[in-house]
Amino acid sequence: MSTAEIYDPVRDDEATVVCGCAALTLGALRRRIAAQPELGFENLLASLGAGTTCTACLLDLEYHFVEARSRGGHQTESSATAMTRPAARRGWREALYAFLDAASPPVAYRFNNPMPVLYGPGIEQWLWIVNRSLLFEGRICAPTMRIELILRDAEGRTIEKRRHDVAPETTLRVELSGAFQRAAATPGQRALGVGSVEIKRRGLSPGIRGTTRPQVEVLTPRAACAVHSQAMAGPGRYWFTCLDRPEDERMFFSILNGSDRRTVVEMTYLAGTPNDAGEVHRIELAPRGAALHEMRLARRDPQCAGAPVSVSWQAAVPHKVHAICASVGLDRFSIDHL
Amino acid sequence: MSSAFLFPSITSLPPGYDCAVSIPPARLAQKAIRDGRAVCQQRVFHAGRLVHEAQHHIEIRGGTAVGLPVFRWPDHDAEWNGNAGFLELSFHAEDGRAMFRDTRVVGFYAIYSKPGKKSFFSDNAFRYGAPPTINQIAAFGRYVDAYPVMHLDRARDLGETLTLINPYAKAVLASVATQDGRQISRRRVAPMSVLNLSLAELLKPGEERWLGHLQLTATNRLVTFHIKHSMADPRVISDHEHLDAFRGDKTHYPLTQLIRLRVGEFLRNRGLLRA
Repeated sequence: MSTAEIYDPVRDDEATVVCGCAALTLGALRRRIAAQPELGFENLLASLGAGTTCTACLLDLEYHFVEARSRGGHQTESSATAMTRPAARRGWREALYAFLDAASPPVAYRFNNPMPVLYGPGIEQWLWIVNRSLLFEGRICAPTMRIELILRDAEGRTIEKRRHDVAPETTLRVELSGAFQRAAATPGQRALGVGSVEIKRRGLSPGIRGTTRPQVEVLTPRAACAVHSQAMAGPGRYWFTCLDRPEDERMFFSILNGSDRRTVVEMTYLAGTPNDAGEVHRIELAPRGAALHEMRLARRDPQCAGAPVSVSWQAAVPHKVHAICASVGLDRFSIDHL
Repeated sequence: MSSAFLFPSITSLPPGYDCAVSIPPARLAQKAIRDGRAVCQQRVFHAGRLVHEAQHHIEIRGGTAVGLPVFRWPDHDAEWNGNAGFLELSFHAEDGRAMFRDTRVVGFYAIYSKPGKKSFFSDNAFRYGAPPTINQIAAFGRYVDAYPVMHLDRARDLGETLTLINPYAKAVLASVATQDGRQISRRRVAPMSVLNLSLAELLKPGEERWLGHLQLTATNRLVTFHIKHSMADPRVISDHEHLDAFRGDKTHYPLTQLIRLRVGEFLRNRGLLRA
């Protein structure tokens, strides 16, 4: 089913009433946004008296607000929006792209998401990919998604490859950490280990993505956490803030090398005053390798206990960093992509 | 389109934890198209009431921002009778002139901590104008959030709660459905309030364990989070994540558009283009 059959954003501005209670037309809404771009969403609604009585139109108003502001190349504009906008309102470049795109065959976008895989005693990591219409009652669902998994150890060596097809109205749930436990040099080791999984996916026919973004779940004997996958980050400097609370937790960063060359990521912990140069740690990564780096501050000012620690890292290659906060006993985790 | 303001963002304030928000100055400065002064407004809401408001004036100059406050909110479990609240954080140019490259929210992680418990992090959410939601409305005209990784287990002490934040002026009715026919219907989320919806009620009598996928719809958009916690004590939280919009984005693109996308990725992966 094409999206146009489901919902065609209205285009006849002056005939289209977007808020019946305020008798507001799409044209009037757009003119007000153009005349007063400094107005936020709620101030705009208040000035027009729209969206405040029965409120049934609020979602549509939010859509039109963002769509109108996006003219001129705002990044939140969807390709669907851009494609349905009349040619007269497009810039020449956008019009050229629309012309070329209309004549071009559809090709599957290949998503490529790297995720760390944690393993250790009592730790399981699972991959979930769900393809369900559910509230759309079978009318809208992603097509069958082809999933290819490449599991690599910390040195970047491929230890397993798998392929799965996730058909509409099905769920894929596969365990990842077992392969690493089996491949580990010392089975049953005490330490927390890390590898990686590269998740490649593509639709086998054109459609929408629906619910098919991969998620990983980390399970311990008494707790669970989960996070969705993302693409690699490019080279550059990045920042994150956490706390230094060694009495209550252990803070780890998993770092994945997305390139085929050996690299070093520099992590800097700034826990003191702004004049403090911070602690710099150099983390070496094999091609496509992974590392798990625990934050242990060498210099701890007792007066700064529990204060935010500014973490930054500099990477020269595509990479992915996750923050993993664990209880001291490694039986409760949270994981966040950075 | 440059803008004099950034869309406001929403951060959850769950009971049982102190919250701290520290925005990297460079991240805010990266959004600025000129030097100047901006105003950071912090507002905390609970049960329909504005309970805290503060404004901070920030100097954006030479690629950094000076004066960015660290927001600290102590645990209000007792004062709020075990309910949650939320922080709304926004930025605008002091002189009202265009200052930011676009209106997108500055992304950051809030830190939640409490002595005796490990901390956890959660990213902020758009109060309105979230690209996946806008794409969803463009594609389907309907609001649906989803979460695939639900795991309830009495023996393993795995509990789950949805945090439904209504940062708008009208009440919203929310309903939840699972892939195997379980439902929670028409729960009212009062204006400027938070409803913590325990998913333990999805378990049938005598049922020990359930794994599955859920979707949520409502009479207006909500800001939704999902908490994995101890089933015995919901104040022992492992993880706090956002739900995901039922995505209207396409699986296929015209070849010419795909080439443009790949060129963008190529440049980003070599540090020649910032995401």
